[in-house]
Amino acid sequence: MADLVLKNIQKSYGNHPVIHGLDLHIKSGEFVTLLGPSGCGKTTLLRMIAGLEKIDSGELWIGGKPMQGLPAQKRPIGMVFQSYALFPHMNVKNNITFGLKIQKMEEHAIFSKLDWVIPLLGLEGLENRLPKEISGGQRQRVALARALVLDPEVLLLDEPLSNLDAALRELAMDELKRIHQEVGKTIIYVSHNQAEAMTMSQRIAVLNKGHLEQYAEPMRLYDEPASRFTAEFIGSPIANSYVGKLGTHDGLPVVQTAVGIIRISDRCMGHVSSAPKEIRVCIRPQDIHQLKNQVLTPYCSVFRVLPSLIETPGDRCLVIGKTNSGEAVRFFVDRVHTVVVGEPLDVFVSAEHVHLFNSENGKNILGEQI
Amino acid sequence: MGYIDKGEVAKKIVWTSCVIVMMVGIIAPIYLLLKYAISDPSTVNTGGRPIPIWPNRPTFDMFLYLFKDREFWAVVANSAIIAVSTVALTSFLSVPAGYVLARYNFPLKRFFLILLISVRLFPDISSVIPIATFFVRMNLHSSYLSVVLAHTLLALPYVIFMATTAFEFVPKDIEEQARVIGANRVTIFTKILVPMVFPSLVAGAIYTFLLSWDEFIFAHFLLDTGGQIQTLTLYLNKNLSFSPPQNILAAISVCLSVPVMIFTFIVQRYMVSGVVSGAVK
Ligand SMILES: Nc1ncnc2c1ncn2[C@@H]1O[C@H](COP(=O)(O)OP(=O)(O)OP(=O)(O)O)[C@@H](O)[C@H]1O
Ligand SMILES: [Mg+2]
Repeated sequence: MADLVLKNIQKSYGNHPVIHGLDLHIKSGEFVTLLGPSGCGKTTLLRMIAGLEKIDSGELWIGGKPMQGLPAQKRPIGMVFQSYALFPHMNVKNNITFGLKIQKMEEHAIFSKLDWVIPLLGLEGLENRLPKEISGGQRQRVALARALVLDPEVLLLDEPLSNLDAALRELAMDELKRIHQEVGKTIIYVSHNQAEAMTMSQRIAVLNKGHLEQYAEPMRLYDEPASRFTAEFIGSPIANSYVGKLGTHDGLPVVQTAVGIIRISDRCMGHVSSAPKEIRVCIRPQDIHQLKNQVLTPYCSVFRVLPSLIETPGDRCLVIGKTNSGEAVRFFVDRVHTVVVGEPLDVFVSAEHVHLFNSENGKNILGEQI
Repeated sequence: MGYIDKGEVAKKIVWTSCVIVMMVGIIAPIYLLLKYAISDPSTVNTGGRPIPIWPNRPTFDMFLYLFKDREFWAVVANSAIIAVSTVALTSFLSVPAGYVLARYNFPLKRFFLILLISVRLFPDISSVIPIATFFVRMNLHSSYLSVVLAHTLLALPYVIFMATTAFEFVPKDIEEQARVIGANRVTIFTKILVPMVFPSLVAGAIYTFLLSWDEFIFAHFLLDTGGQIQTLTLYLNKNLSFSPPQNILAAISVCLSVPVMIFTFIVQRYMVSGVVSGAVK
């Protein structure tokens, strides 16, 4: 079992704090992504796990063993750098076997490792090439192979796909998922690309300015964001966001916004009085639908918008409209001909998709219920 | 496309002429040297008229004469011993120094760098006196060691600078990756860093070799003119004072220059090879 546990990890560079008391529990064999905007401390966290950076305070456990004071070369981890960091003077084979030779592994054992990893990563025929003689995608696979042959308990990947073009990146994502399934290693993957993280990971740790915003399965992050930051960072395009006031309407919990009165989940009932007056309302464009002849549940709220701009990136189009009060509403519709710029239409949103956050600290008002 | 940019053409012409002038400047003395070295002694004294572009009766007699002289071989051996030792000592000192300067920041680093290069801020002729005096006091005068140390002093600033630049080019990621893989410091240094900066180290070694091989002033002051140990440059100087036929001197000069040219040629080949490419990104 190689659970990885971080307890109250703190890190500062000089007197500039980068990680503020972070707790994380990664289960053995899990594929976890550290996701967050540039500069939020992902690489720093990964480097602390690897032993390349000192942990100021807190505890790090891998497989039940404390890692404090253990130098990088003694930790049961493999790492693939964002830059791949292949040894340029060694060919592919020697790059992959460098660590094995350090361990003084016997020749035949090294060969059987090579026989296993080279087909696994599709590196056949490249064994004798230098890093400068192979493509970016191949380099990434060599770096991965070099980490895998050492059989680490935890594999750390720092944005390994960021240097690849879109097509290659999709391939590499599938490849990584397949490899994870085959080798069953604990993988910690760093990314600032939310689509990449959502596709690949079993759980995502959303980081913001050195704080853990939320740690949950991808769909959970999407459907029940714990903070306004997560709601806006996960999902694309960015969620609609309004200022609102909690209250009741005909005895039902609602939020009053410039868009209109929006019905909210019954779970919020308890907060209607206790919550602060002003509150932040986020609704994903994907959760607002055009009203045609659907039968609406009592949980749905309808409002009228005037489309002002229609973007057609693919099979769906993004409509940007305005309500009477002038608030912008972004939502998706299926077919372009049903919406015309300047012709008002009705849209609706269901209560479970209306996310409510405390205006001051950005936390979901449902708090621990999430 | 049929369109000719006049500015481009003019630029090309200027460049080409510059290169030709430079080539002539470089090749002409070498050519003159060779011409004298293979001329028959009787054809050298022409009473003021220049000897023809191609000597009348080319001959290798001068070289044969030199190669039969035992003293010549002794001084070649001395020069080689001194040069090789200088290279060894310089490399030994400059590799770790370059690494530390490239990777660590320590107080007074700039001051240290200036101190290092300060020997070369003065003309050799002005630094040679104190250094020679110092070696006399240390009882090192007229020894291989004195010349080797002096030449090392001359070569170190540049060679350390070259090594520092080379180590700076090695991405930190590579070192850290090696650590994560399980390599200790010694392994990282010998298996990763040194091989990666090897071309620069070779270039530095060759620079040092040439510097030592050609060096006259320090050798002259540190080795007595009549002393046991003589170098090729001192041998040339001694022969000059006997005013022998010019073509003997020319032949000695050729012997001095040939290694220089060969090594320069090799340096260039190593300088261009970009070993670091493909490591990161
Ligand atoms: N060696 C260092 N010295 C001082 N500050 C540093 C150092 N390394 C990182 N930082 C700072 O720490 C913060 C976190 O950096 P980090 O590299 O972990 O970000 P990141 O999340 O990996 O970002 P990116 O997505 O751009 O790679 C940044 O504000 C950065 O400026
Ligand atoms: Mg980073």
